Amino acid sequence: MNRAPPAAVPWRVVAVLVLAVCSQVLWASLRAGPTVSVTVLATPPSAATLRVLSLGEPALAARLMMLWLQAYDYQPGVSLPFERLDYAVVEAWLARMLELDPGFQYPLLAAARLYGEVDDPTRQRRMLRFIARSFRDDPARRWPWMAHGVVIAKHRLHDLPLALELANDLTRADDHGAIPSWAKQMHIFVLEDMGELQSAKVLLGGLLASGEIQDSHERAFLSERLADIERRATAPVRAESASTDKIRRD
Amino acid sequence: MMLKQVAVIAQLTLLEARRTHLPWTTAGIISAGLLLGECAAGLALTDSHSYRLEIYAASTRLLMVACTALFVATSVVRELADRVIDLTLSRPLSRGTWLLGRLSGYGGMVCLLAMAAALPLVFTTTPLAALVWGLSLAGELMLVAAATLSCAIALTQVVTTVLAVAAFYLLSRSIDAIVLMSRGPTVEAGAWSSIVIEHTVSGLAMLLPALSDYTRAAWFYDASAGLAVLPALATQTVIYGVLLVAVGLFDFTRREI
Repeated sequence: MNRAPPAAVPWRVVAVLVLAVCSQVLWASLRAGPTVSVTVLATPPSAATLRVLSLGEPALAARLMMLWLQAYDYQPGVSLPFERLDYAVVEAWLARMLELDPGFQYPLLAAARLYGEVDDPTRQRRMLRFIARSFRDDPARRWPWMAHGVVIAKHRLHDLPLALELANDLTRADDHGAIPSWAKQMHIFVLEDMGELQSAKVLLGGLLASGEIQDSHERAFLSERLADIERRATAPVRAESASTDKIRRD
Repeated sequence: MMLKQVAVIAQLTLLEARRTHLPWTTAGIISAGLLLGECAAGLALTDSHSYRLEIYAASTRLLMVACTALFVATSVVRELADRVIDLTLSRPLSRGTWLLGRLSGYGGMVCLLAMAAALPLVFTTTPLAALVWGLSLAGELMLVAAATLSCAIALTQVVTTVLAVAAFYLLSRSIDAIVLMSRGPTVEAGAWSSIVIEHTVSGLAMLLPALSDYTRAAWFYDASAGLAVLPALATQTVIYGVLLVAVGLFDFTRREI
C-alpha cells in the first residue's frame, strides 16, 4: 500500500498529535504513582471446588497452585519475608495440593526446604507436623521429607524429643519395603546425638545413593549441598592437623 | 455541515452494528457472564454475593473489550478492503470527518454496550455503583475502540489489528505492576541494566493510559470511591482518545486512496 511521506501530513494533524502526546505525558506525571499494596494470603477453596474449577485436571491445578503460592512472597514492588506469612493458611494451601494430587511431592519439598527453613521455631514445628501427618497417609512416597524433617528437628530446632518422634514414625511405617534401611535407622543417629554436619552427610549421601531421587536438577542440587557439607566437615579437621604439624615442627 | 456529516457516518456505524447482530452478541455475553457468576456463587461456601458480582463484572468487562475490538477491526478492515472508503471519500467529505464520524458511531455503540452490561448490576448492587461501573466501562471501551480504529487503518488486517490492540490493552492494564517490579527489592539498584529498564518502563507508563484505574469491582462496595475518580478517568479518556485519533489521522492522511 502506498503512503505519502510524513511531510505530506497537514500541520494541524501534526499539531494535534504533538499537543495530545504532551497532554498525556503531563497528565501521567500528575497522576499519583503506583503504590505497593500487600495482599493477604486467603484461605484456599475446598478441594471439591478446586476439582470442579480444574476442569478434570486436578494434577495440573495442584502444580499451578504451587507455583502461585511459591511466587506469593514476591509481590510487585515488595518481597515478603516468610515470617509475615500466615503459616496456618500456607499449610492449608499445601494440604489442598496434596488432596488434589497425592503423588505430588512439591508441597512437601516446599514445607521442608522453603517454609521450614524460616528462623522461627513455632513455624518450623508447624511445617514438621504437617510433613508428619502427610507422611502417615503415604509413607512409601513421602519418606524423604520425613527424613529431612528429622534433620531439621534435631539440628535446627535442637528438639531431640521431636526428632526422635519423627524418626520413630519412619521406623514403624508400613511402607512395604519402600523406605531404605538407613532412613529407618535414623532414630539411632538421633539417640547417638551425632554432630550436625556428619548426620547431614549421612542423610544426603544415603538419599543420593538410594537412587530415589530421579530428577537431575534435584540430584545436582543435593550433590552440591553434599559437597559443601563435606568441605565444611573436613575444614576444621584440616586446620587442626595443620596446627598439630606446626607444633611438632616447633 | 461537518457536524451533519459526522452524525450521518455515526448513524451508519450504529446501523452496521445493528445489522451485524451486535445486540444479540451483547445479550449472549451478558447471559454468559450472569451464568458464570451464578455458577461461581453456587460453588462458594461463603460470601457468594461477592462471587456473583465480581465474576460477572470481570468476565463481562473482558468479553466486552474483546467484542468491541473485534467489531471495530472487522468493520474498518471490511470498509477498506471492499473499497467502500473510496466511494465515501469521493464525496465532499474530508478524511478527518470520516474518522470522527466513525469514532462517534463506535462511541455511541460502546456506551450502549456498557449500559447494557451495567443493567443487571442495578438489581444486585446499588444503582449508583452500577452507574459508576458502567460509565467507567464506557470510557475503557471508548479507548479500546479508538485504539482499534487507528490500528485497523494502519495495519489493514483483522488478525494483526486485534493482536496489537490486545497487547496494548494488557500492557496498559498491567503497567503499574510492571513499574513497581522494575523498582522492586530484588532489582540490583546500581546496575546500569536496572537503571535502563526502570527508565524505559517509566517512560512507557507515561505514554500509556492507566487502564488499571478503570472499572474496578471494589466500587460495588464503595460507590463514592468510584464517583470520586470518575472526573480523572473522563479526563484521561478524552486526552488519550484525542491522542489515538491523531495517530490514526496521521497515518490515514498519508494513505493514497
